Amino acid sequence: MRPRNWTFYVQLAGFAGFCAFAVAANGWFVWRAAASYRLGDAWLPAVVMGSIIGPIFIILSWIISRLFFKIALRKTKSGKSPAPLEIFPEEEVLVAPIFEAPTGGFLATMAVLTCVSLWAIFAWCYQMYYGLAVTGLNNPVFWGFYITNFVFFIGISHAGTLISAILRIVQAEWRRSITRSAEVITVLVLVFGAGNIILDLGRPDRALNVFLAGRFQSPLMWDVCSITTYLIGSTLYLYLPLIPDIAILRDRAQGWRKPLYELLSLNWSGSHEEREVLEKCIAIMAILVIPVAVSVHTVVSYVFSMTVQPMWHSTIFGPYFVVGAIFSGIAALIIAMAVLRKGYGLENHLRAIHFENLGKLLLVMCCLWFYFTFSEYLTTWYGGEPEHMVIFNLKISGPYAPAFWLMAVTCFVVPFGVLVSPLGKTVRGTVIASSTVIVGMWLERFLIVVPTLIRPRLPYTTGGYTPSWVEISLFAGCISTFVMLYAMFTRVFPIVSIWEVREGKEQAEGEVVARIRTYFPS
Amino acid sequence: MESLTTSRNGFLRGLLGTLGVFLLSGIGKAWGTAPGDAGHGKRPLKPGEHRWGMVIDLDKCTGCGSCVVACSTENNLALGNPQEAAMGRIIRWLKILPSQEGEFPAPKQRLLPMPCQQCDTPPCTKVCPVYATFRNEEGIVGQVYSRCIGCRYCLNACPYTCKDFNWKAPVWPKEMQASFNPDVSIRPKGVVEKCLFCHHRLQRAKEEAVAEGRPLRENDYQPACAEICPAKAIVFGDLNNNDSDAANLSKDPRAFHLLEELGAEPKVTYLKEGA
Amino acid sequence: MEISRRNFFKFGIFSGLTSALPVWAKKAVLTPKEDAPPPMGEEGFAYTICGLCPAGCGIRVRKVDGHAVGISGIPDHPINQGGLCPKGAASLQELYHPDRLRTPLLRRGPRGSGEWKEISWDEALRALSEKITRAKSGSKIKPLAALTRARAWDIQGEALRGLADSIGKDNFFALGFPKSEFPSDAYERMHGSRRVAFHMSRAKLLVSFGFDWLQSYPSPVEAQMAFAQLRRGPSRDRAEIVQIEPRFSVTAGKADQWVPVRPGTEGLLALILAKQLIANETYDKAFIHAQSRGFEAFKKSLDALSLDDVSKTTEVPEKEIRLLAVKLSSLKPAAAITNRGPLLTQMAVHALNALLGNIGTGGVFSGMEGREGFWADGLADQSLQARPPELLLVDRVDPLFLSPSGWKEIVAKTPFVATVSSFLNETALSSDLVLPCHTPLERGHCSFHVSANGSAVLGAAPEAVAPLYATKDPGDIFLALTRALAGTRVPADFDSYVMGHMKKLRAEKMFHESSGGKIWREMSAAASGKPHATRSGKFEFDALTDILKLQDVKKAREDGGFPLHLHLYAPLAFSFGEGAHLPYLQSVAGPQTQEAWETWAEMHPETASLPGLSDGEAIWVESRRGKIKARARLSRAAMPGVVSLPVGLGHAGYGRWAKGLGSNPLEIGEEGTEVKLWKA
Repeated sequence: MRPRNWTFYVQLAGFAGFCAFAVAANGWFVWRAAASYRLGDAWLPAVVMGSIIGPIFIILSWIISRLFFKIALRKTKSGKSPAPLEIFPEEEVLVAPIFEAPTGGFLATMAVLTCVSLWAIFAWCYQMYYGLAVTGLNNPVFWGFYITNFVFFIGISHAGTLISAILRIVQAEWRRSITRSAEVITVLVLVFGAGNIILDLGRPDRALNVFLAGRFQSPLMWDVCSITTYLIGSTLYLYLPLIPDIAILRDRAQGWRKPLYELLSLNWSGSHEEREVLEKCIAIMAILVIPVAVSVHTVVSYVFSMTVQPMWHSTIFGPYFVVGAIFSGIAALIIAMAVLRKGYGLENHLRAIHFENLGKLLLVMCCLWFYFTFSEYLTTWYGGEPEHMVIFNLKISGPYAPAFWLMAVTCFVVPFGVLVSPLGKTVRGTVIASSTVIVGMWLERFLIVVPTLIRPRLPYTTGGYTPSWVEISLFAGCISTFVMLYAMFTRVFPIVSIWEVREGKEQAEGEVVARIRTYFPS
Repeated sequence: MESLTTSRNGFLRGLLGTLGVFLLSGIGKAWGTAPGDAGHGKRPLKPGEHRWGMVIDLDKCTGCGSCVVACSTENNLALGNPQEAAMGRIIRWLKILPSQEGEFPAPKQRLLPMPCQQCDTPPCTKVCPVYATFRNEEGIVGQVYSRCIGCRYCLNACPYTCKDFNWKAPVWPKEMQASFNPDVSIRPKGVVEKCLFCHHRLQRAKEEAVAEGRPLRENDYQPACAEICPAKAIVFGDLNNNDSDAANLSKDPRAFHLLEELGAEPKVTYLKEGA
Repeated sequence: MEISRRNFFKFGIFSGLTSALPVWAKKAVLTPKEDAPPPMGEEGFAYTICGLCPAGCGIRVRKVDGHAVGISGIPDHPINQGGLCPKGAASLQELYHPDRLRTPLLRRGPRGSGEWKEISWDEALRALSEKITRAKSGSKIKPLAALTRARAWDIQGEALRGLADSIGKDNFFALGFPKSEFPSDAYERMHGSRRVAFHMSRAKLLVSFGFDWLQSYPSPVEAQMAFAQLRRGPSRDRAEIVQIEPRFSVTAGKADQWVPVRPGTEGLLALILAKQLIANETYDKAFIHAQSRGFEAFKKSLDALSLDDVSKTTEVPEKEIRLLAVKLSSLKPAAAITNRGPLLTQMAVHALNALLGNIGTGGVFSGMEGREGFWADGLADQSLQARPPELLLVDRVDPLFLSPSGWKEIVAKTPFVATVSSFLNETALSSDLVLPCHTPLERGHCSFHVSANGSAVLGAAPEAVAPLYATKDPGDIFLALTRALAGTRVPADFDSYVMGHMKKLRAEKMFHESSGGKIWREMSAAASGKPHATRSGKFEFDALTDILKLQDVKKAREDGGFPLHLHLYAPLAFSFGEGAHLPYLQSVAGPQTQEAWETWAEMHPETASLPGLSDGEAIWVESRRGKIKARARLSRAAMPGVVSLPVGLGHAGYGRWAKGLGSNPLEIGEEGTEVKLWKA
């Protein structure tokens, strides 16, 4: 049995806590179903949601229990701590950000970001004190920047799923260097996505009513469940492949990092049994997290499509949003990778081929996005229903036309053009395409949310919407805080998965050759 | 891997048990209820149960606006100011919706008083995440200020745009607080509010009826707008009572509903202008 | 894993058990409880008369713990039948308005500076009575002029008249609001009496010449009720309504036909229609022959008018005019109405009624018994401009707002101005002494109210709520001043004064009966009077003929840089120029526009395109007299060449919600004034 030091108790608490949470989650669905029944409301949606989400949490608990029992509680022959794991020379550059002091440039950037974040916190306090009157929202434009940002950030969170999970399942070996940076984006940006909902609430102090009085007919509750599940799942999915890397860092670490790594590495020693358990858990998570991720942006789209408002009530919103999410997610990932590559000198690990392959995926998503958008607008225009055409005209030729056509250019014309050209194979090309895509996808979210609200079916007041300084500050604050947290992550954990790259370098070639041999007749 | 097998078995057993329980507790009833419907669906109503509705005769209505002012006074509506008006943030539960067709020299105009349409299948109650808006047993779509989290989903889901939101805490000069109707609570910032068919008057009328030991009579309960209309264009009553004016007028050949095709089944009926 | 199974079973057990409960228990367990209504203080009702306008609707005030918390109409009151206009519905806001005057104010700085000294009532009344005494013994011909609002008799007005009488002669004036008055000048010249009964609901065709009567009727509730009768009255014969007006007003929108006409030319249109009726011989020959005088001269004077010219001047197509003439003669009884505008228009429109033969007992117009009142008869502006008084006493009316062109000069020339008002409005701001009075809910009422069709009631009720501040009943103020001047001939206090008059009217018991809601007594029917009180006993055309001779039809269109015509209208929420101080009324002031807390200038996009104005833009509206700021509202329903502005905003005082909001178009002109527009 391993020594019972403080890390054991914290890990035990973590495991027990998570299991209790999973039980509580299941119980919560039961309680809400019973409460709905008592109130004479339909109880079936709660049961359906519970039947889907409940088991997911149980599976997550099972994975955590596997980690705890099979890795953390692993018996050692001598009862001593595991032997230190080595770091190869070419991997030094990966651990440099963790063990070396930050550069002046890094500190200066962080200082600027901190100022922006502090200003955003002030703006938020201002808003909480005075109410949403400080925004540009009004009757009938009840949603604006915050909901746009909510959808936008949740969309970007699909980066992690695609790269890590899907590429892992299809055994694409080039994923190895980039999975970590993708997964971190997901976990962090989900917080800001959900956070924007809190910013948008008229009564954020009552946000817990969602748990105390939740109604599952409402797509917002589907959002709550789905996003919470995705956040927990993604965090776990980030953590699992991080364990061996933390173990690698554990022995070189000094100061405050050492206890942290010791706690989080779960006593990993790199033995064969441990590797097996971990691979199994990661494989299950990879399969589990894909439908959850797809459901996340689908239910976000359902918030709009479940109403009867013109140009919201569209059947393709589910897949449209998922495609858009993956599209913006890949773009965000490319930008993040480019910045990391330049900032930390990771040219050896984040190579041109990674950008080229991601660029190809970006191109595919670009075409898919265009296909969906075209279908949506063609269908609306061809049907010609007056109330829909009012919104349509607002976007195509009215006050929102500049935003709309800018979106078309930045989401399709530029990325497509860049990515099919030779420039698309380079780092620079993909970064240019990604930058325009990020801008364009934000515009796309905005153009979905606001124009429909500007011209309601029965307008008492003509809508108009100009975001106020509070909304813009909070948007800037979300971005700056996200970047800050991301940067801080890179200084505590390696942003490229050390063991996976090492594994790839050592074993992948053989495996791939063997696999290819099975394709062709013997 | 034993634990996995055990857990899978246990999980399956649990699932089967649940299904059995559903059958026992009448799952058929559950399927019959439509979302957003406070369990009343289309089942036949018990005798004595009211269904409150309103009929507005547009041929009598002159667009004078008394109904708006009476509603505002009765329900302690926030006063408003020019800045809020410019931003479109004035809260009026009953709005006179102008619609103009055509142009000079032969335009057409309709001034339509629009309260909450009190739908029988409200699009707004479907989407509330916290049960802060719901349809009660007598057909009035309620609003629970103390539970509303201000997400404004119901405001966006309402096709009539007849709900309002408190963008800030309403400001009342001290002197005017003396004229608050004590039956209606003052809403805090960040919550949704809307016409409730002066539900507080129904509560008082019921109280009185109980105190006097008699059933509720037709004209015991009238919302402020119906009471004050000088042209008597607003008729309010129990749609389940075949003798009531409201029930009869709602079946008039001139009757129509706003956005009827959306299927929200509003209980506010309009009688169109003309012969 | 047992945990999940247990959870599912737990729910199953719950629902299973509840299904097994008997029905009554299930109801108790499963029905959500409704919150009981909150406990309330002592509730009571007071019945009184609204008093915000001369109509006199009966209102029921709901009081809880002494505070007025709700207003509704008295269901069987003959004037309003339980309904109220938006102003009545907003009375509570006026009662509890934060900017009400609470103590008498004496001017400290120069006039209009807003510097006041709060003084006690004793001081104020003493100062004023001293001033009056001095004025009486002075050399000025007119020591005092008293100005009040035009209305039927009431006790407060009686007290003021008593005061005025005790000081001099011809010094009592009433200020009306022409947009909301009947064409009494025409009635006087053609009927011999300023008041004629108008039975609107008898008409099968109602043609209004420039009178936006749904919004600007002298008794707003009466107009709404009459409209409902015309449309859905018991006779099932839906009356037809034609609106001839430069603007697509609320009435025009509710009418069956809108005839756009250039502002100020409605009279011409009436004349050409008269000519058409005469030419087609479809006028009521019997009436004209038997009951009118001067018809032939009138007919001759119409020769100068040609359909072509009038059509061009009024901008109404010839075909429309012809069709309208046919309509007038085919639907009977038809009635033509207008408000108290230019004399020619008043008489021309009323002449149509004679031609249509709807005047007489049982007709749409019939005689009316004279009712005592304070009518806006004399031309107060002109009389006082010629001879300004030494002291002007203004009672609850705002001449500087309603008629700035004449009254600014009068006030400037009057050495001492005292105002009785509840708010610091324009006139109060330019006064030397301001005496705060009760709002109508705080004072007793004893008043006549005459409806358009001549029926009259006596209304009497005590105060509905106790006065909030140290204000006084206006009658009390006037009586106190009279007492200070005339001594013991006047009753000791206002209550006994009121009782004295109630005894004279044989209505002493009414104050007691008011607690049960019976606050009115119907007075004798008025329509029995002879329709014509002229010397000839017939309808007179001569005055119209005379004025026609002086008229130049083919008015050359003066441009001189002012290419557009101003059209003014009074929204119901701002009727009589009052209402801007109450926020709830701001919301209903412009039902055809969006929620617009501002003075909006309605115009056709064509009209806006020349000065390059866009919707919602701040603009200047300038006439030869001056300029005001407004906000452009483009509407495709508007008449090109016309700019329509509402009257009611643009106060320099009158409380926080009215102060500084919008502009007063009466400062730059009246109906038909030529204006130009440009970006602000």
